[in-house]
Amino acid sequence: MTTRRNLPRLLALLAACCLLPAFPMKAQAPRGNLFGSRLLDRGETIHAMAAVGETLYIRTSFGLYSAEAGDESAILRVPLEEPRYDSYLRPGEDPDQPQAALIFADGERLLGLDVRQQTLYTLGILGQELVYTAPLKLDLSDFLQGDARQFSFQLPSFLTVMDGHMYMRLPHFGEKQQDLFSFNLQTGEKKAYSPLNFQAMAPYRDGSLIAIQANLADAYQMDSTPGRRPRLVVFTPGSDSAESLEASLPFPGPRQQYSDIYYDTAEDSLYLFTDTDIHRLTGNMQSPRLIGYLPALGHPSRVLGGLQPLPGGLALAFSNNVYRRPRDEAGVRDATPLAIFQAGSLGDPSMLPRIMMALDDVTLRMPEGLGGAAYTRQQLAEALITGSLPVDILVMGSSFFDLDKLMDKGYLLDLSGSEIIRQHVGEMAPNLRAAFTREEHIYAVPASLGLMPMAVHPAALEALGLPVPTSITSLIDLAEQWLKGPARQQTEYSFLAHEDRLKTGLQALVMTSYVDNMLGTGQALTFDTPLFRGLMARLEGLDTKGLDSGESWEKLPLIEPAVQAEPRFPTARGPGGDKDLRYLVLPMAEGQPAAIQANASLVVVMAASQHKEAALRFVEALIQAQHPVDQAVCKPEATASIDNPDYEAGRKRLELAVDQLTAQVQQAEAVDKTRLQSRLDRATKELADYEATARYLITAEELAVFHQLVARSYIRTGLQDTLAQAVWDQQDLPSQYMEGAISLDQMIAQLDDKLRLILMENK
Amino acid sequence: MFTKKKSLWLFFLPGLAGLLLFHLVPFLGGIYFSMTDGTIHNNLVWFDNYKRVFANSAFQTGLRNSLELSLLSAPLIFVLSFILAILLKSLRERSLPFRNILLMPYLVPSSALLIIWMVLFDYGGVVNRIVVLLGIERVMWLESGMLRVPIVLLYVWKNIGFSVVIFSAALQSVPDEYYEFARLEGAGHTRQAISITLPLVLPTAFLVFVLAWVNAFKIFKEVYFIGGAYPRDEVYTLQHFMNNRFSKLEYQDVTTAAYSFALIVLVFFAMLYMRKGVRGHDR
Repeated sequence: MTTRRNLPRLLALLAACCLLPAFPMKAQAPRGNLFGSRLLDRGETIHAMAAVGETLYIRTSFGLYSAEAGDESAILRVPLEEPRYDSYLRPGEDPDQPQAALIFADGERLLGLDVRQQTLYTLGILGQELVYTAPLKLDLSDFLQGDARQFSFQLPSFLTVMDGHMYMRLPHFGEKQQDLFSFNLQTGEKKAYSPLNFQAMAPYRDGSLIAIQANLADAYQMDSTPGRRPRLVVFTPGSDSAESLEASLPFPGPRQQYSDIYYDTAEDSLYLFTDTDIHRLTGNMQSPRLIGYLPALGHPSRVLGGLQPLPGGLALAFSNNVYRRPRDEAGVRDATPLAIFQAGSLGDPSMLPRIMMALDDVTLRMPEGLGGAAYTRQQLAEALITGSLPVDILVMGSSFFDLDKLMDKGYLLDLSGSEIIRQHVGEMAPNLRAAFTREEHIYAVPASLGLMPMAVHPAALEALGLPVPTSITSLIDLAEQWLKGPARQQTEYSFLAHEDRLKTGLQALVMTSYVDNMLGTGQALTFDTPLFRGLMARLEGLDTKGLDSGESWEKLPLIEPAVQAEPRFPTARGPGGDKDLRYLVLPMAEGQPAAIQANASLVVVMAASQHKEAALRFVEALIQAQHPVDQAVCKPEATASIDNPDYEAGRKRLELAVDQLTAQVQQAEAVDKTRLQSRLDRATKELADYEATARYLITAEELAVFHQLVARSYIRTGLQDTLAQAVWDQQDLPSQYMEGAISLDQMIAQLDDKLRLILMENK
Repeated sequence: MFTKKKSLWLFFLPGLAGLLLFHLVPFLGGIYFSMTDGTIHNNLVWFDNYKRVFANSAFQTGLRNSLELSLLSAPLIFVLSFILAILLKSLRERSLPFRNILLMPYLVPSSALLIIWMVLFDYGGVVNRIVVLLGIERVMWLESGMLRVPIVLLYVWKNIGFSVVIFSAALQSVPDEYYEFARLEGAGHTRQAISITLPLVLPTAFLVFVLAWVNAFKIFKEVYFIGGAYPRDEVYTLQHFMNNRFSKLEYQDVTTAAYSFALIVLVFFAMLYMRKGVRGHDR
């Protein structure tokens, strides 16, 4: 009886269970970013953001983008010229053409502010064109600096709209008597208010606005002096008064500046964000809740309208991306925290933001108490041994810590489980790979590689009838030839940069080359050899008396002992750049092997990390974010020229400028014609230089040069590094020798004693 | 009786807990670490580290140098501080300023003292000028095996004040009547010092000797500031070995060397202590 009665209930429950997946309890919380690293790649920045209904509009330096609620990324709607906030006109630019330098919305309309014309427009999009309608003149004189002919517009701290009025604040450091202004969006009427120093503002309730008030003149005492902390206030325009909410605001972070804020009336919640965190204050605003993370990481820049509501979430903008985040703690729960300690460079300053844009579910934290590179090796050793290193990822220079010990003692995670890492490292030059791999195991990935070879100016040597040296021995021959011949008559060239320190310069060069050649080619480092003694004795015998001790910087040095070999910068390939230099890796004597040190910055994952999977993805993202030239230089099989993806756009831009200037020259009168002709000549040369050097990021020939350098380079780690560092330790025996405090015999004996001691210790 | 004992334990407990927590546990933990392979997994290798470290030439050099430096420094401190303490005792109330002056270097950081020392012992420094005046060739005090001389002198200068204070305290307890009798019997100052003072302050003298010796074993800062992590062989001490191995993550080598050293010192002083006379109750 009971069973029969319960049966329908059971069936209903079963049916309900089956239907569950079809009716999710809650829509997926928004997450992700709208641009990836696109903007960073193109050097494009976001200037302002606005929301009309559920559509976001983003004004960047090169266009107007939009994104709907479900869009994965923003779509370029209208390509635009870079907005200008001053009176300067580009070549051929029409001064009467409106430009939407700043965009915002009044809920229904997208509005654009032309700061040059001091005119507000209603914006529409027709095809790929921006349509400007309903112009309204505004008096923006308070925001202009200069005079009517030459002026610049000072960007407001914020721009917000409520009840048909636009509110803007003029930023300053305490020197203005009034800084808050409103403009009627129907009539253009301007009004000034008495409260000062609102750093961010948003519509609140009952015709009032909510704002963060802080005097930036007190910025560096904000955290330490209670009376100077930023306050949350309610501003009532009708009564021109502000009342403090006595709220507890989270600390704004190292920039001492809050970004935009947004208040949601239905939720009675205020949202605000810093470079790394999103906070929500509800009700009495006393307890800020951390509801999400942001990866601005040193690449922040305030965006007008940078915080906009999305259905169920928020859109938060920095200068290089727009992030979507949920409005509750799901933003924290869903993010994997990775602790990174940087004791080395990631190469490119934009590398970290690039990586984090690819890993939107990961948040990067810098562990407190680890003061950057100030964290010494000794402290690192202590933290490793005691197991108290709160770090998942360590970025370190190859000489910062003994990588061999870290690998051998199991402190590092084997990264070979990742296909991307395995393939990347597998394609690298074996001499580089050897430093951070053990058989099939990979323990690090280089984030950057610095090569500083010796270089000569072949044309200069040829002009003087001197040969290009082929070994350190022949370099000393060359120095002797120079001193016997042209040294004292030359006004155009010098042998090294400082002719008056020629002997010590060469001594240092020989010491460095000797250490690198011995260690880099796997030979035992010992200074008591006939070769080393012979070379140093020859240098002692150089007659440098009477050499010019004056303005040697005016002369071109024939030999550059160490130049930064930069494969990525096209300027180095122009006339007078690295193209005129020839890199040399010289053996000590003819027929001997040669090597130079490669300064690598390595990324490792700690074996004790609690977030290994996320850390592995971080390393993969790092590889994918690396510049193609940096990658190609390390990979001997990558021999083809690499196209510059921006070449055509850049050439068109320069061509357009030349065409416009040509037209202007043809129409110009006498005086203007000369000035314009000069500008045209400069633009034509710039175009020619660009066409000659910018087609490729790197050419096959240049790659071959770098591959030769890489093939002879070695990453100095472990015992090799200890030996090399002992040569130039705090006793600095080479300097003592060069200054004449000790003899060559004493230096050699003491250096060899040191090295022997190290070898004994590490046996 | 039982209640009294129980309450006594209650008084002992905090100190005992501290001793256990901060001394005994780390001490035993160190022994354990000296028997592991030093990897992140801490696999037990028993006495392999001891065998390896004892066979290491750098360890042997460091241990030998530490012993030699302490053999040079400790007796010097002991003898000089004993003499100075007797001299100060003879000055009675007027001894205080001198005692303070002697104690001053003990309070000054080694790095500051070293700067003065390096100026004094530089190739063109004051000491070499005196040496030249004496008709001897200048010596490279800081760059050769002679570095031991300034190091030992610096160490003695810095630490002698502390030993003098301890000796002075002990000398106060020697009754003046003993000296009066000795003087009546015709004993001179040296005879009094050897036959009366030294036997009566022997336990304190033993303490001074132990402290001077143990501290001399730890001569490191002075050498490190001048010679760095890898100084000349003659002044490479056991602490250099330990410091360098630590920075190479070879923690097990550090603990092994430390316990080996502690054992040697312990055996040496135990042998000394067993000798009749140095224990206070044997007097």
